[in-house]
Amino acid sequence: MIAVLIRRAASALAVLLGAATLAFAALELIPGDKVAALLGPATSASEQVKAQIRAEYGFDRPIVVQYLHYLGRLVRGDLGDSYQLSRPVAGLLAEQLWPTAQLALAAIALAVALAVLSAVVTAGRRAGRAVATAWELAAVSLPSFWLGILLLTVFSFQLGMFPVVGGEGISALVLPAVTLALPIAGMLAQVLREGLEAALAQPFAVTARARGLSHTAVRVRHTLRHATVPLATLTGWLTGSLLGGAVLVETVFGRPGVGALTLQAVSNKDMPVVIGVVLLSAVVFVVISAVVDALYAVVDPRLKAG
Amino acid sequence: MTTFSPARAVPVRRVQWRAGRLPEVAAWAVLVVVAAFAVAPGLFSDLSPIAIDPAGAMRGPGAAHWFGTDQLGRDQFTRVVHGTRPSLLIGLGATVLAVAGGALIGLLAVVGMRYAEQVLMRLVDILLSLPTMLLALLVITVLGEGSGNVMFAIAIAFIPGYARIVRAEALVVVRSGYVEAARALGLRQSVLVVRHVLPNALGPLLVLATVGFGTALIAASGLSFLGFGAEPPSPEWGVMLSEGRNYLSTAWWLGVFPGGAMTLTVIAVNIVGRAAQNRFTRRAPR
Amino acid sequence: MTPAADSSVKSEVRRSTAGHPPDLLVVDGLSVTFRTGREEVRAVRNVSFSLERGECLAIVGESGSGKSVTARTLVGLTGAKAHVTARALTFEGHDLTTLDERGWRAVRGRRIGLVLQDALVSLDPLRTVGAEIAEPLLTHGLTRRGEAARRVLGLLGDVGVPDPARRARQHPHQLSGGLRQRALIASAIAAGPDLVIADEPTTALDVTVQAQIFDLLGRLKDRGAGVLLISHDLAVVARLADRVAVMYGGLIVEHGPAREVLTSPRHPYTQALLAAVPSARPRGTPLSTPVARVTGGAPPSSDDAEGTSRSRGAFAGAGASPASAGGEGASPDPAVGGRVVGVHGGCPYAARCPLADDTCRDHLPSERQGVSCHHPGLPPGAPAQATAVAVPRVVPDAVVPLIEVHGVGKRFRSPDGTWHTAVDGVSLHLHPGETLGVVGESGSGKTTVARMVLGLVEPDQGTVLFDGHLWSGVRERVRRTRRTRIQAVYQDPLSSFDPRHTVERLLGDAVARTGTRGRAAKRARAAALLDQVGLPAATLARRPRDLSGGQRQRVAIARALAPAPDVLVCDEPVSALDVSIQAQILDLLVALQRDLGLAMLFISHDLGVIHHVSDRVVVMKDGKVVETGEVEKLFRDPAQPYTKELLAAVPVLPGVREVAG
Repeated sequence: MIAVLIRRAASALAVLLGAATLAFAALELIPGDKVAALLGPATSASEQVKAQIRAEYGFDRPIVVQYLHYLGRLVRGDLGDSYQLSRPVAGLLAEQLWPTAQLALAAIALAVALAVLSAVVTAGRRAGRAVATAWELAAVSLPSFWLGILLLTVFSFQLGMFPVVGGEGISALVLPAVTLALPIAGMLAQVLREGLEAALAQPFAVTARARGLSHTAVRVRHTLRHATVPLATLTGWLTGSLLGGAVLVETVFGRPGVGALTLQAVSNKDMPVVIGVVLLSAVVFVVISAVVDALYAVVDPRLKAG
Repeated sequence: MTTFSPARAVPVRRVQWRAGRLPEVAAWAVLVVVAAFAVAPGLFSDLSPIAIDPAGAMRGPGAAHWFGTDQLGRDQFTRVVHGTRPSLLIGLGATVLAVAGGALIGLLAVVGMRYAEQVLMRLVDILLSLPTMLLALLVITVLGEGSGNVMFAIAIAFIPGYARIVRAEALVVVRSGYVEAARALGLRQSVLVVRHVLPNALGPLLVLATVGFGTALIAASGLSFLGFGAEPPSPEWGVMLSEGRNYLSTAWWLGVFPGGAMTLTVIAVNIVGRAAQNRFTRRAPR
Repeated sequence: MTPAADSSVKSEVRRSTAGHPPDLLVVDGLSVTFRTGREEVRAVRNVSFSLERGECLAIVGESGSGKSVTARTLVGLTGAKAHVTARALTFEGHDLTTLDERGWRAVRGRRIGLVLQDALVSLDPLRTVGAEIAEPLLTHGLTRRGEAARRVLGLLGDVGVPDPARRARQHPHQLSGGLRQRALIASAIAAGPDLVIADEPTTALDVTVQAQIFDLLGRLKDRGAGVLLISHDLAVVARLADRVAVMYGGLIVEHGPAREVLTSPRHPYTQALLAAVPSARPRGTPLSTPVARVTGGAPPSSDDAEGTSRSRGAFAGAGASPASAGGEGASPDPAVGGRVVGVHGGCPYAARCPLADDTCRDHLPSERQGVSCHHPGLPPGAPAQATAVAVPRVVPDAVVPLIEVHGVGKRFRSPDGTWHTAVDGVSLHLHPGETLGVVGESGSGKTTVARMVLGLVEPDQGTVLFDGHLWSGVRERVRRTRRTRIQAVYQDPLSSFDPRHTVERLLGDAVARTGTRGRAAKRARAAALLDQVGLPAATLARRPRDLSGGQRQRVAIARALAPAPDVLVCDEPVSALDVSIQAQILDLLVALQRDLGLAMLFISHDLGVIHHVSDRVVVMKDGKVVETGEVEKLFRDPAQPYTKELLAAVPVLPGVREVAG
């Protein structure tokens, strides 16, 4: 058991180190003067300031030393300063994290609920599955930014039910969450329905029915649990990817958050912030993976080590 | 925006599709029309996609302007038709690059040396831990904006997913009974790869690439929507949406039609891709 | 409905006791039809039988014969696509045809218990054994939740599971195959049903465990339950069945008391089935019936009708059950039923029957004295026709062995990181022209040894010599040129063919290795190989997945013969095939071995098969060689207790005293 934990921790560390290295490489790959890149295109800093930065970042030293120096700063939680906002990146991210987390959690909860409902009702039933397949297909094919625009047009501009922009309160959360949730729900429903149908086709489902269980009881007591493993895998991965999806959705709805911050940073080539977001998303991935792994062990005793 | 990468997210097995052949026929019809738009937009509209007509601005959809006009009086139908090519090209180019890159890395990992596999797949794992959208944005930050760079960014962001799939497919083939049977006939490794591994692993990959193409289209438009890809006055659909977004309160049609065209195209691509997938899984005895 | 049905039920084998409480189960004129799209598959046709308390009826048939569908009908689980009709279907005097879903639920588990093939997948793998056994009790409100645990322990004890308290808390995968199957039976009998339907209850189990499970089912019977046993294996049911019904193409072709059917079968199909049981025939005699032998399956019909191959894997094997196990969407293998139970009205067995004439092809035979056949016969003078009595091949000691395996060992790493020893200090040798049988239960390491001989697995210790040269531990480049001299035939031929290739391409690639060049030359050589294995040249254009299981295995053998090898390694080559097809393939292998003078290493779990083909036998257990010896001597006079135990567990047909005829 301890060996397993150590292996997990090692692979989590590898992901984090990898992401950090990737970010470092990206910084190195930016064409032109790194100091200029760090300062941003707009600034016209004096040569003296540039020299100071060069010394501070150690750009005059060998690349390996720079890399180790950079890792050292990361370990201390120092992500550098945003040149554009002239503030520590760590602080910026911490500020913007909560609105995005709210949005992501609401979206994922909604998506899972929709998927479970759709899949449990339609799995293995011919009439239901045609409808389900159609909506799932439409959902996964929808570009989220267009879905957001549609929802805004109908519910905010035409019906006036929800605010057009802003990030305060529950009502401002509804449309963005739906926008983010719908495509995910389509994907989750597909996987869940497939899992349910695969489980229903297994002999143990026949055995359960032969004991006198009803259709619904077989689904709830037996097959749903089997479909949970692929569902959890996908949900975990999608939750991580919401950080990317948030960029578009927060833009469409004018919400504050990590996504909006990222967009701003990419537009302004604010490299420290972009790197910060990449590292944040690696951390999120590692945390979610751990949660999903723990869930596996609870759901499927066969996956337990030993 | 999680529709970004089903190629790696959905464990694509038998996604069943039994509602008959009708959807597939309809999907092909849509794709034919879309392809015609892209190849010869002039056939479908005499108007210019960028000619400004302030007098005719903000007209709703009607007989004169099927999809209405925008704030500068440009005919939206003409713009949607002319926007097909730039909208599809980025996605297509990105998919081709990503599939080629993914196939190369995936196959190298299978047939190469042990340490090559370790290094490559470790790298792929790390890239897979980041959201595709973020990876694409990181690349854009490095390379800068513009249509070509967006194409590269999407390709790079998609490569890890394809690499993982190719490796999985190739591993199934390498460990299969028929490769073992071929080995027992004394064939050398290179012959095995050319004769069995490549063709059997590439089939499923191409089918997946179809579905991946739809995802790449959405990604490309999304990045244009954010202002990193095509630039106004290009009629690229993402750009059109981005412009139309400012007039949603008064001109709903500016938000509806370009996105509708995109969604319809992606749905059609997905239907065709899945039908191919089903045919494939039914054929393969795995 | 019941009394009216009586007249036709009379045609069923009636026991003399009249004026008795009603039979436990009466099935009369049962037909089940599956509709999938435009296709209509008649899986079960006009089937009648009855069953009393304390009695066991065995329904025997190959895959696609309709036996499993019949069983499913009795618990109302044939699925939505099935159309069921019957003149009578009564259980304890109650009409089952009128039941709605709620009514069925009250019957299932409570009055009729169902035991499926492999408990690893027939018990919910995510729930504890205890929870699974308690489920019927709780579902039918027979026990309060708090009391269920105690009842579960009692049930586990009843079916002979040691340490029930610990086992109840475990999951199915933590139990051995035998214990798991006992637990599955415990869950089927938990609510005290009067009828237990066992659908291939021992098919995935090793012989010694098989015997124990049959003892357990026998105890149920003694306690007064009716047992309906479904199996593909006539020899296996002989242990338990009082009466036997043989199904083919959805029809019961013969039925009667077990001893009668098994000792003097009258339907040509039953005769073929019995003749095909290797343990019942002397060595050196062919197993397949004349027609199959003469044509070698050449008329497509003879082998086509057989149905697709069954795999011994987890959830296949129960006839129509693998796909149809899909609780809701049960359907028999359409490829099988569709062709066999076609639109024409003739006897379904006509296509394979040596006695078939135009009457057989045009008219469905009606049942007379338990046999549905236009030409019911007496059993053929069984071993009398054994013209080619086994002449034991004497291998002079001086001859250098082709294959020498010296003290090889191999360890594998399990997914959980622990090491387990698959093969431990195994030595054996194979002389030119002889067949060495390697027999053992699952996990005995026999397949790993085969793969070492093939040069696909490197031993951790020990060496393998081929033709006097080192074969293990050498570079692949050295081995490659000699690989063509050792060829293999596997259990699942389909997976050993590139799915994109036709038979012509498959065989063409193989003959090209021995220098045959040019399309026409390759084609001619491939056709000659097909002829050698009894397939028509037309097979060249087909793809393996469109062939039946027996035809695929023939193609696999043809490919193995293509480079004219010295050694043929056969790893369970007939385990996935129906018994009559198995007979044809075994006959073919024996004939080829004799004609070509091959050395054959034959791996099997089936002692009957091993006895039939081998000159010498190696018995393996837990990665070690238990006993080696000349086949007749070893079967007659086994030295080791394990060998004795194995031999004792082999199902033996009544009237056949010993395995060695």
